[in-house]
Amino acid sequence: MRTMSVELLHAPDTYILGAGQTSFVPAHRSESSTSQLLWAAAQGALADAGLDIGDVDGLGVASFTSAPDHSIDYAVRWNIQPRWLMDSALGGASGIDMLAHARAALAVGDASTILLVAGDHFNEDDFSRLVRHYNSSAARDFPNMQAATPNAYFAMITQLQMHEYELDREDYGRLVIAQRNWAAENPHAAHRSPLDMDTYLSSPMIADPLGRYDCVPVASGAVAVVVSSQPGPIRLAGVQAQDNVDRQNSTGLVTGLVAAVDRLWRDTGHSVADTDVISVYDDYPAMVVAQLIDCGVLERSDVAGSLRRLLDSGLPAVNTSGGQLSAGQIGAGAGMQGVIEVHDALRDRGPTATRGAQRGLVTGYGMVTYRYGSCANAALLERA
Amino acid sequence: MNRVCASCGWAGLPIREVCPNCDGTAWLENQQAVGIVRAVTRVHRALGSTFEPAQVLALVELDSGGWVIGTGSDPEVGARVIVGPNQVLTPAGRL
Repeated sequence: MRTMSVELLHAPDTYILGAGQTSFVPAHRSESSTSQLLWAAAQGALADAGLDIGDVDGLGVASFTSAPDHSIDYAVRWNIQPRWLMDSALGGASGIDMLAHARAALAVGDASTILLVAGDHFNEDDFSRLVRHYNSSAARDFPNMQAATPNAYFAMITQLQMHEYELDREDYGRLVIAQRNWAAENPHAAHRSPLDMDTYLSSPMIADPLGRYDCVPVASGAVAVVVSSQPGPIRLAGVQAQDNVDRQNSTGLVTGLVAAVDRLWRDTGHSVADTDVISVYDDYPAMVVAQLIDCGVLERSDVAGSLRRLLDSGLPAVNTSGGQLSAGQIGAGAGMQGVIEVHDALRDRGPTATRGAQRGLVTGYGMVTYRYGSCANAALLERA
Repeated sequence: MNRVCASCGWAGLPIREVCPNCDGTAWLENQQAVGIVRAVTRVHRALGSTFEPAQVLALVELDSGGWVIGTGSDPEVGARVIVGPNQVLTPAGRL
């Protein structure tokens, strides 16, 4: 581990050469397949980078619904002869997980041009099967509890957070509405129609206190990036992870970002004050709040007040594609949605208000091992 | 559940081989766990199903240090409960 760190310190920088994505389509309306979506996103990223598939010598894939296929199956389908292959099974943390491994592979010369692809195609049955058999705990630890799904787990975490920081439903509503406003400028978002507080508060209750707009909508879609040590428009300034931070043995209100982001700032010499845009993994509003606290964006001693000030100022801009709560959660691709979101903002392809952004933070969070996510990671991207 | 670390008494889910509290690896089965309800949610919809009445789930912080999600007839936040087989919750004072 120590040897690798020294090598990375002296390794060439890592760049994102291009990004691609499909539209995100509500699960019940998608007629595509997982492989079609992944290929479409891959083609988009390669075109954006000005590369051909023959230039690729490394491939990473994250997808829940690709089974039984893996990265080597896609290498064969797409006529890639990779020197480096990876399959990330870390769901909401998979995008940054793949970025971190790709960076290490580039540093030691295991590959020169790496295509990272993530996404899923869902119908209702696909998603139910995924939730019920997410891991051995999901299949075993909730006997006679048909209602035990992530919506219920995070409903209870939201209650703990509301109590801990004196938040109310309108605090979360302001966050959800702000993200919906961003989504209006994202042509790929699954949900773009305006949302107001009355509609938010009166929406059907799913698992109290979570209403319909607090629960991430399932979508089908895919995203991809091409990374290389050859200079490109976006530089990966740093990446850090901290998994199993609390041994899945606490309230769940603090994520591994509290350690990972601290290391990221020390590693890069930057701070949250240097970031113009932030994408935090947003499966539920409470987890946006938790991560913004852990990243130092919100004040732990005044969460409600600092959240209001953040949303009023838009500095830094948070979840500017609409986040998953409006754009939709594309399965394992959700772990890379934030990378695309910040990449686009830094290339002036995002919302008008983010034009000129120089640096952006992306977080990943996921893998509910029992009650909440056990994985957390973060990447800092900047204009090259 | 009701699997308790033989070294330190920690109990909780998910099931583990190594105790998160003391690194112990020996476990006692069929033990009783008691704790306090920290949150309760009434689930109206899940995975395409509607629950009428809503299914009640509760988050319990165990005295021994772990956390579990269980279900019972009417758990209340702050109540002491016994976590029985299949994570069924009963008031601690009832037994």
